[in-house]
Amino acid sequence: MRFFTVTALALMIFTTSAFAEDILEKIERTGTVNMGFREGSRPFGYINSAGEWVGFGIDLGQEIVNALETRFNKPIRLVKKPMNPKTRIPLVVNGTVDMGIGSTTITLAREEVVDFSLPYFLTGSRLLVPADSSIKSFEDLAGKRVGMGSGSTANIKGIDLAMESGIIKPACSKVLFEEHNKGFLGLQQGKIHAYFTDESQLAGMVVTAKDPKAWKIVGNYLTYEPYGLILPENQGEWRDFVNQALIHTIKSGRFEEIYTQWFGPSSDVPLPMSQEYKTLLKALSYPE
Amino acid sequence: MEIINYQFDWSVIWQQPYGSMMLKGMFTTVLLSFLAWCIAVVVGITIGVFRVVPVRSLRIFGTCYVQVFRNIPFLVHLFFWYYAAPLLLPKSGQMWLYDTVPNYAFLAGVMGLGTYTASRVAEQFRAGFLSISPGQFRAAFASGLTPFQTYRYVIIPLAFRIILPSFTTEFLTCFKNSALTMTIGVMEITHTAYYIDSFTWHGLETTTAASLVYLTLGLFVVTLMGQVEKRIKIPGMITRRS
Repeated sequence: MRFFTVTALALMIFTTSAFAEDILEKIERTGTVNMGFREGSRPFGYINSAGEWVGFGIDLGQEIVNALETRFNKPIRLVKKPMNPKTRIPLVVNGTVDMGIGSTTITLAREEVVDFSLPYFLTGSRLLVPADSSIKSFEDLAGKRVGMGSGSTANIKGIDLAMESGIIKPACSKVLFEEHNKGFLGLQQGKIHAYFTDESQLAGMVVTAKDPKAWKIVGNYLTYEPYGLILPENQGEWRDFVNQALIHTIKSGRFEEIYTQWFGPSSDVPLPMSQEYKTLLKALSYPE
Repeated sequence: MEIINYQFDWSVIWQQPYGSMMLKGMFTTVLLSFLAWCIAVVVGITIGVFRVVPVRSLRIFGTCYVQVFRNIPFLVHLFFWYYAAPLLLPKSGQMWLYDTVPNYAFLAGVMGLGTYTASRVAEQFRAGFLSISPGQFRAAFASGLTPFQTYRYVIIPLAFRIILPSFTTEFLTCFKNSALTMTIGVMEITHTAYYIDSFTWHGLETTTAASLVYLTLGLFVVTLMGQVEKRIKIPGMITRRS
């Protein structure tokens, strides 16, 4: 009886232990692919005013679906599932989704539990402040209250390091928010003096403000944040396939089209591609 | 075919810097729940008395308080205290509040949990008052006590003894509800467990540790209240047999 209880408990805990079939084979067999996308992160994945689920990540996912269709020579159905910074890693680990496309920084700690594609997006962490704020750089944060997302571990580690190394002296106090949107609300209310996260996120937050001109993004990149697609561990074939599809999308110029659509000068969230990002994309243009 | 295994590593609970985070989280949970409980008891008894006194305006006030606070989800209470309540102050007042209170989320959590639990405590007390026979009131008045003295020296002590078991449950619920304050960024024990998980991927260990903290606190409260019950029992009244 005791043994049975222990086994049952172990089974409950290891819901992650679904027998891992080769994902490419599974996609060919079932004709469907499951992908996780953000729902409230503009423009990576969000619900637009027409109620459609759109975004940079979803277009990128569609490119991978197209590549799958070419590979298997049959229509592949894309099943979109919502994910957020808290659920993105577990959903990939337990096999609910074959791939997570959000705005996920590749970190060495995360590499221990999941795999990542090649980095396809490069941004850095900066500060969002009111337009009339005296904060112009990370040094100015000394003694101030700074908001950040409680799931943004890469950001948190970055600011901790900046405090330890004396860039921010005396230390600022960290105020954690569940989501970036709530953090922005906190900033508007004056609970915090600045909100700290990736520039790509900050740019998306500003456009949701009543008056986007009342806010500015300041400071040099404190950390670099290379984004990758989240993939399950030990699925080498699948990862190779995804990377190939990414490289082809970049080389064909389609990637730039998608970027311009969501981050170009006439888009909702204008975010010019930095020189470093351009170089990264060039480095990813592997020959055949 | 391969099974993804989870490697338990219990050292994350005491390893630095996580060990001191867990301790701090535990301390925050205890302090927040305790302060909230103090508010809940004082406000709860007051509102409970308001619900039964023969003064119409007080009764209406008490009923409104209980219905409003009890029928709105606790999560909404927290958002109210954290995001909306400061807006009732003028702009300069808000700034003063954020600058002087070092951790506003904690204060909002205490207020939210305290006033919410108060509505539940008030209902417990009302039930207790209503279960006391009218003879006690009449006897108290007949012996020359004022209404305040009647409640202070006769009714509340009797009612308190009757509701003590369910009162203990409320105390425990108060501790457990404190976990919800993580939604407004309070670093209590559950939030700390999740936070460490996001850095180490050892959430099973940290949440287990957090559960043990709640369990220990709960057992402590139950033992304490059991002692209180024994200490204050009045011969002739219903008491726990032990």
